[in-house]
Amino acid sequence: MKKYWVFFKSELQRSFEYRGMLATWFLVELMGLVTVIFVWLAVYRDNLNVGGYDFKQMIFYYVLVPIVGVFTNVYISESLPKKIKDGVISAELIKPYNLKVKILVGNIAWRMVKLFIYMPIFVAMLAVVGYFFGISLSFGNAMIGFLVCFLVYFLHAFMDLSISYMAFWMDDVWALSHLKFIVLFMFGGMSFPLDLLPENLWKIFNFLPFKFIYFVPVSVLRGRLSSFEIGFQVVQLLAWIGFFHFLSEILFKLGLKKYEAYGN
Amino acid sequence: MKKIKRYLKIYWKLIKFSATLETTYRMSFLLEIIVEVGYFVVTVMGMKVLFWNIKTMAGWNLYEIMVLYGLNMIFAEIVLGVAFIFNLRGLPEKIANGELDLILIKPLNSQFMVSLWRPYFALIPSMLAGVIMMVFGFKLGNLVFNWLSLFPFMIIFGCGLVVAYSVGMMVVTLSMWLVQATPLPMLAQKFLFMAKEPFSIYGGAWRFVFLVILPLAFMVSFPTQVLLGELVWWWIPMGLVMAVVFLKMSNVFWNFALKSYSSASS
Amino acid sequence: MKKVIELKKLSKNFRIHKREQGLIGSVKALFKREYKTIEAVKKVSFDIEEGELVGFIGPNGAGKTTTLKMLSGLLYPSSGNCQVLGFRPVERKYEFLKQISLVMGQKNQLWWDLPAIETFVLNKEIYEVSDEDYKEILNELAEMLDVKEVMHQQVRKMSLGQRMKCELIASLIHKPKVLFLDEPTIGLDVVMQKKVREFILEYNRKYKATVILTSHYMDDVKEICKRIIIIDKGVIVFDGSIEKLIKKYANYKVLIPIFNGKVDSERLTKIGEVIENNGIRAVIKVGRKEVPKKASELLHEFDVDDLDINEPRLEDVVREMFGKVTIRE
Repeated sequence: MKKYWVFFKSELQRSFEYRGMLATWFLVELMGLVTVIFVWLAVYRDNLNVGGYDFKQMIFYYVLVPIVGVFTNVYISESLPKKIKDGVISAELIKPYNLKVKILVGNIAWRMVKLFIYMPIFVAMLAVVGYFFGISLSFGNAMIGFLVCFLVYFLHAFMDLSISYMAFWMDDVWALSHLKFIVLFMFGGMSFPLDLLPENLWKIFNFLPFKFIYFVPVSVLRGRLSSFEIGFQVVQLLAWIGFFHFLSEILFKLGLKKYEAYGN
Repeated sequence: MKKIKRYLKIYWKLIKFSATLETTYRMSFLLEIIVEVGYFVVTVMGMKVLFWNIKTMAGWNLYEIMVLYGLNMIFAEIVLGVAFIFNLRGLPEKIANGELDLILIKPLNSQFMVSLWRPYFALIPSMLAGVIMMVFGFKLGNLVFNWLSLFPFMIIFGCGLVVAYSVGMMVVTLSMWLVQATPLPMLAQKFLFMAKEPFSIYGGAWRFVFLVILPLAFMVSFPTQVLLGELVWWWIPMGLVMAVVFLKMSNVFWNFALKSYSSASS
Repeated sequence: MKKVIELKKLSKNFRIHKREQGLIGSVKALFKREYKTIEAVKKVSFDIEEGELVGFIGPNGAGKTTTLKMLSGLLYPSSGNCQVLGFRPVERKYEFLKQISLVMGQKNQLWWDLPAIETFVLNKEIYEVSDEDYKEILNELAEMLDVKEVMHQQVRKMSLGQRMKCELIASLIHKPKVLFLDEPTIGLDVVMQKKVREFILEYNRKYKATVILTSHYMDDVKEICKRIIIIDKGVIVFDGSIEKLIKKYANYKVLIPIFNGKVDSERLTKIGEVIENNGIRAVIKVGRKEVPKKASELLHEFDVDDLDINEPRLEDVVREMFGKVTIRE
């Protein structure tokens, strides 16, 4: 148990060193937010209500997206496939620790530093929205929202691990990882709130796990779901977490067999 | 004149090299195309969803937006393919690992080498998709197309490409000092994707910002408006001025960065 | 002879910030930065004439690569004068760059998936080499390095040795007058190292190019360079021929006897300092002046089958100069 604490500390320090990079990534996301605000400003000049959201609610939605993203966004499939392809994980496999736990622990460390750096800006954004729009985050919603985000992190992590493990068979997992990103962008609720979808599409994407990455946590934070609905979503969420955890474990075992067979 | 000929000759060679290399790796070429199709589908769906809920956005209807987004695809693929994918994206790494020295030792303009060394061709299918989207926009929306508009269009579009490159180049040049900031190329790309939206969404002081300071207007919005039949008199002269000024700025900034590199690298 | 490189009191300082260990140190560094000035090169002066073969040696961090970079125009000097072929390198004028070449050990410029010759042609255009000159030099170099067939192959498919040879051609296609070689044989096997050294000598002989070489391998220096410049902590500690170096800094010679029967080291210590002894063959350090006396003592008191009296090796001399710093052989 102690060794994972050591990993955590060292990844914490590493991510602190890379704070310049983290800050730049934030600027990238901020640019996206700025554009979105302008677009919706224009849309709401001609329209009063879009899909059940008025202007203030829409902006609030988009402000919550990057905040949720810090908790639920996972980039494991950007670096792990390459490590598998290059054979670097061989060295890690013979060490006395669980590789997956190590990855997740390090991942969480980076997340914490990210949060530390972004926190002032998030607080500022929420304060601005609260002051100018009169919409604010209630403490209850925030607590539940945070819990949901915590669970969603594991969903996304297991999803990403499953994708990364495809590197045992595929030459270039990059395309797969990219496609996942595109799907999340559109159907995770990052590009637009999912309840803007027409009825038939909505039914489909309500059934898929992607909605949990942004849409569901943001809806919880906005206080749009009743306790019953939240409970229902959490049950689905747990089911999906179980599914992807199971999938990642199987893929890892099978992949390892293939990996060792080739004496990498 | 002789100088331009020399650079054109070298660039033609580089294009031939890159084309050979792309076709060598068929599998990843295919995968890249699949990803491009993915982006295309997502863009189309995004538009459909938006306009399922509203009638117009900043005075543009669905079909005009189709033309706009279609042109944006072409615009983005040109800028990314020519300057970003293999060249500017890799610049922070070259600075960090010293490969920049190999470039500086050659008797050739370093900005040219750093920006244009390897063009990327897999984006051509996306460009075609963009053209198709534009054509559909015109047809389905019964929009009027005048062949005469092509001439001013090409000028303004060309200016927009030059400005976009210059902005991207300047952002990436910052990695000379911010060695840690490896996502700088991503930031540059994000700026370019901001150009996707119609210029009319910006009001007041922001119009000035996105016209003069970060001239997004010239990149996709104005060229599209020209194709749709609108041409304001100052667009062409101002576009040309912007292009020249921004290109020069990127060059001055790059040389300044090189000076800093030559003082500090060890 | 024409002076090709002139350095007068060339200096280079770097400012780096000091950082403490651990997480606390990293956070502290956010608020207060302490800077330290490192004098990498201190008032270095030397001249090199056309056609010379000069070796630059010194421990890691001594200032070799920094000096090389200033000579090739990649670094601004902090003070002093630096002239190469009549140009100030740092101005990076194209006429200057067309006459020099920098070859760095592990870094390659050949396009990986294309035949080597494509990179040659590209460089021909970049350096503005005429068609006739290109044909001529390509032929000659390909002949010297024996890659006439191989160079039409994809670089990816070549062996390390073939690739290195093609890298050399790519760097020389414009017949540079000054060659800067930074660790040129690093990572190569013994046979390849020898081939590269022979090539450099032949190139220098044929084209009268001035060669400046930095290396960790003593053999590179021994076989190629007539003159060595030793740099340590940014200062030149020696500039001259190898023989002069050995005579000046090694006041000893080495006796290498081969015995008929086993001799243990304790008995040999009366002759001198025993460096090696496997019982049959010993290596003994003896002061220069005492060599005749000790040699005869050795022959009289021990059953010696054969005796060699050698100058100390360059690597040992250099190693002793730098104390504990190791220099690869």
